[in-house]
Amino acid sequence: MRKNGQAWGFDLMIGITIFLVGILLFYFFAINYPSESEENFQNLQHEGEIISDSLLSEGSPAEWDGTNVIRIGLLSDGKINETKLEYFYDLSLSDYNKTKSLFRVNNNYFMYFQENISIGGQSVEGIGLKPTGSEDNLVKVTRVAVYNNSIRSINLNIWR
Amino acid sequence: MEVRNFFNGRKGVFFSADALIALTIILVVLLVAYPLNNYIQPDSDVHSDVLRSLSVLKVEEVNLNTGSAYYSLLEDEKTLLEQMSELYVLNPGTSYARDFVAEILDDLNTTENIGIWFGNDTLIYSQNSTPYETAREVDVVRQTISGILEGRNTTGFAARAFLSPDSRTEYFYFGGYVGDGNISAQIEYDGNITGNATLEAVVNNDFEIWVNNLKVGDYEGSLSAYNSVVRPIRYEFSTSDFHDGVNTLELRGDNLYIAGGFVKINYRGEAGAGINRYNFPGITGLINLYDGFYIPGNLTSMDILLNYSSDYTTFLSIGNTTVHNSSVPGPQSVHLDNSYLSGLIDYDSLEGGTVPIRLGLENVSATGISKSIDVFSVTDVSGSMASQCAGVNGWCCLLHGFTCYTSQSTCETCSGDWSSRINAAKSANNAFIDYILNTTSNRVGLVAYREFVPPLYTHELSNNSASLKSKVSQWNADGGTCICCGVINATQKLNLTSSSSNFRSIVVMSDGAANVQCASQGTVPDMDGVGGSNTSADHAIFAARQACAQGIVIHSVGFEVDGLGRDTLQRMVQVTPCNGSYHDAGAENLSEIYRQVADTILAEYQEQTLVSSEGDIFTALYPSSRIDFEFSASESPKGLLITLEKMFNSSGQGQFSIPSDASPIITRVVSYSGPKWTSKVLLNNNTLFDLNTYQVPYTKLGDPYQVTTTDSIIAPNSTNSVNVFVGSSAGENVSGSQYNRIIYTVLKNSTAYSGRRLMAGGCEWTVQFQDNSYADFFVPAGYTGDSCAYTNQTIHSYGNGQIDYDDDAYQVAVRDLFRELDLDDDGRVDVLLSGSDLDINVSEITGLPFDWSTEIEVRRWIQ
Repeated sequence: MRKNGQAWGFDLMIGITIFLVGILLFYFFAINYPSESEENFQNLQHEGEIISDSLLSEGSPAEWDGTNVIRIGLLSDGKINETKLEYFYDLSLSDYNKTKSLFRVNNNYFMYFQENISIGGQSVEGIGLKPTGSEDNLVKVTRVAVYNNSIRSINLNIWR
Repeated sequence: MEVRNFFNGRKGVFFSADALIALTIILVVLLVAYPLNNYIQPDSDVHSDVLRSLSVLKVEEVNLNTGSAYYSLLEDEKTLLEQMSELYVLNPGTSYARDFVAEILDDLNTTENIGIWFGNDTLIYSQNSTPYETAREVDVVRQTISGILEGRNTTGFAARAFLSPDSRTEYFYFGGYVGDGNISAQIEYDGNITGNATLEAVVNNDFEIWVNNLKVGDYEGSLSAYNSVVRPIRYEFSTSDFHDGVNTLELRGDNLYIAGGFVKINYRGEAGAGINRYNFPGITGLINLYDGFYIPGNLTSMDILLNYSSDYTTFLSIGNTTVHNSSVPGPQSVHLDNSYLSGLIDYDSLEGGTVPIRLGLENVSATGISKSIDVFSVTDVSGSMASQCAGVNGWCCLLHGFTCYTSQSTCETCSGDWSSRINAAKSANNAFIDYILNTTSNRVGLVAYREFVPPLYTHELSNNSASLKSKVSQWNADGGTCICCGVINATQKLNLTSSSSNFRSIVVMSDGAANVQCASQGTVPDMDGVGGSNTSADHAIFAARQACAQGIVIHSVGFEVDGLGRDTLQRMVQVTPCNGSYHDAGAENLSEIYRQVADTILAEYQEQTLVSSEGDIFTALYPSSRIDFEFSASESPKGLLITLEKMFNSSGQGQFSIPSDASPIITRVVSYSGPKWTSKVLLNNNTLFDLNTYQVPYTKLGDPYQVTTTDSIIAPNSTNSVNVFVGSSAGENVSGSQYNRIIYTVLKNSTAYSGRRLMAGGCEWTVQFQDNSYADFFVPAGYTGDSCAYTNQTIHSYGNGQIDYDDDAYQVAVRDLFRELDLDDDGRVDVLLSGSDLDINVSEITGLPFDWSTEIEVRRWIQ
């Protein structure tokens, strides 16, 4: 008997298999792959918000210093308090990991104003661990506060 | 060939290749539609931070460009957000608000799109890289700014207007009768007197006013001004001669008397002594005082000091008790202490009431103290007046020869009810004779009538009591009732034997309706609307009116009479100008009624005025005389006291209201009784004063000009009614004067607040007071500009409480203060103050934010 059509069963199975594999690969690769990065982003974003919210608070106790700080906050009467800023700077230098634990974050951070700030007479670029530039995942959180009687932006870089 | 041979045996390869191609196409399509790399926009709080920062930072903390166009408009204490809003609202058409925010935020280094909106539709400032109109997502934060609204002021003024707390009005009252001669009073106050003083009084003759021995002016007496009608006049005179402390006010003239009146002053200072002291007026001439005083509480002590000079018997009575009666001539200083007075007077009887006080002279020859009276008693001796024995046992009466009808004892023996109107009439006539003839110059005549006047039943005018009583004893009852016969007979006798200079009167008594006419009167018209004309009653009334026309006053007594009989007797006395009195009587009180009629007649003709017939008589009562009281009373009220006056609505009737936000403190009813006595005063149908409680002729009693109460019978927040009656005797109570007034003091709020207003300028005010006088004044002092008015708009061209500008705090506060003082809301201020008296203090509070508000929005958007 002469059969001119394609081999129905085996070829069909091959074709279906190819489609399925391709779609599955696409699903896991194209969708899941971004979810993971989004998850990382959200984690960094979340910790950035935690740190920025803490910084733009009075802290705890309200008149905290390096010895009694429970929560780091820079504001007094809604404005950046330079004394608290200096305490934060000193603490970040002396025990950066402590600041991370006080913030309750795992990622690294670096806080900087739109201009260099003066701490103890020194011009300081920022507070925290300055990123090198090679970080794969880095989130920047921008906030605004009153510093030296002017409204300034405060940036916070968060990375793994 | 090989390819074809390759595929000849392998046709499934083509299917697989097709599948791969198809899959590739699908993947490409999916990748295009669903990019691998999603850009995830992180959330940002920059807009919240901006709003918070603008709310925290104040203008004074920011380094701003002093050369900017808006710099002078900035207020240091405002936050940047408030300042921005105010610049926008108060400077429409400018870019001040935007420029101000730009100066602050332009240096803000942010990549976010942010903008600031006023309300929800007006963009003030933005810093953005992509247009808002194409924003894919917008986050908004808002903050409400109070006191800010587009088109409105942001702050305003408030003012408070109030009367000066030391502004006072004091009244000094004269008695119901103060005479006869020059009269003085002590006017005492502690402070600075303001404006003119007011004297309202009935003064018989023209007089001069002297203050502290300095003449103030000449004034017309009220009786001459009003043609002898008892009507007070209000006089205003200068207070330039007054001083802080005790002042002597004198009225000098020809034999003056004051029949009620008061002096009113306004001053700024301490409150007066109140009602713990009664000051006697000063009288130089003939001491003749009828007055009264008020005891508000439980009287515990009374002390009297009388300083006078008299060569005649001088007496002082309090109520119906004479506490002083002395004939010692010359100047006297008499001290009646509490121990003496408390032994004479029952203090409990004085509590809570107004007590009449009488100070006068005895045994002084003066005309007017009594005039000769000629009076006829016209008595019904018709058959109905005969003795009767009702319900008698006929057999018993027969056995007694029917004497039971003529003998009371026999009648009662035979179980009858004896009544003898004729005997009651005889007793009453005898009493009447005694009362009238108590004054030797008086005379009594007798006429007894039946269907005619038996000649033997009459007695000519005489002061022979025995002869008169003998005639009375001869009367017997029989026949009809010709009242007109009795009146005509008495009138004829009076005309024949009595001088017109004497006071002539007829007292008519009847126990029934008239049933006989008098032919001598001809056809008499209908006088009572009953039975047509020319009835017996018409004849009786006509006869009485004829007698009145000849100057004879008719009084009538209805002896157990009703219906037509009473109506006739009443109409007989209701004749102008005689205006006699009618009295109902029964057998048990007929004598008492005749006594009252006698009192009425005697009082009418014993006027209060004394005119010496001995030439000039000098007696003097000095105004240092006084009565001091101690009584338990409630604590003096604290706060602003306002004294108001309300005229009576009609003769003897008045009304006044206490506003709901005022408390009544003391109320005085002043009564112009003229020659009569103020006999009774009712307030809300409660008796405040009743002269009859003293059970003595009025001539023995004082006549209070003011009747006072502090009782709770005064109803707040409703209309209180007052009735005043006057009379010359216990049997007479006629409505008092229409010129009476109620003077009442209330504790009232007199402060007004304007609330927030846009400005505080002021006004030149014209104010109408309750007495229709006007005053002009300026608030604040010295203000010129807008004109305002508080008047009754039906009288003046201004409207009620009209002000020029409702947004002026001063104008609103002052207008509302006048509304507080306009107790009856008739557009006239009830507190009588002159323009120079009125002292309105206005305190101003500036910078009050208004209570309107608006929202400021800060928006962040992403493309």
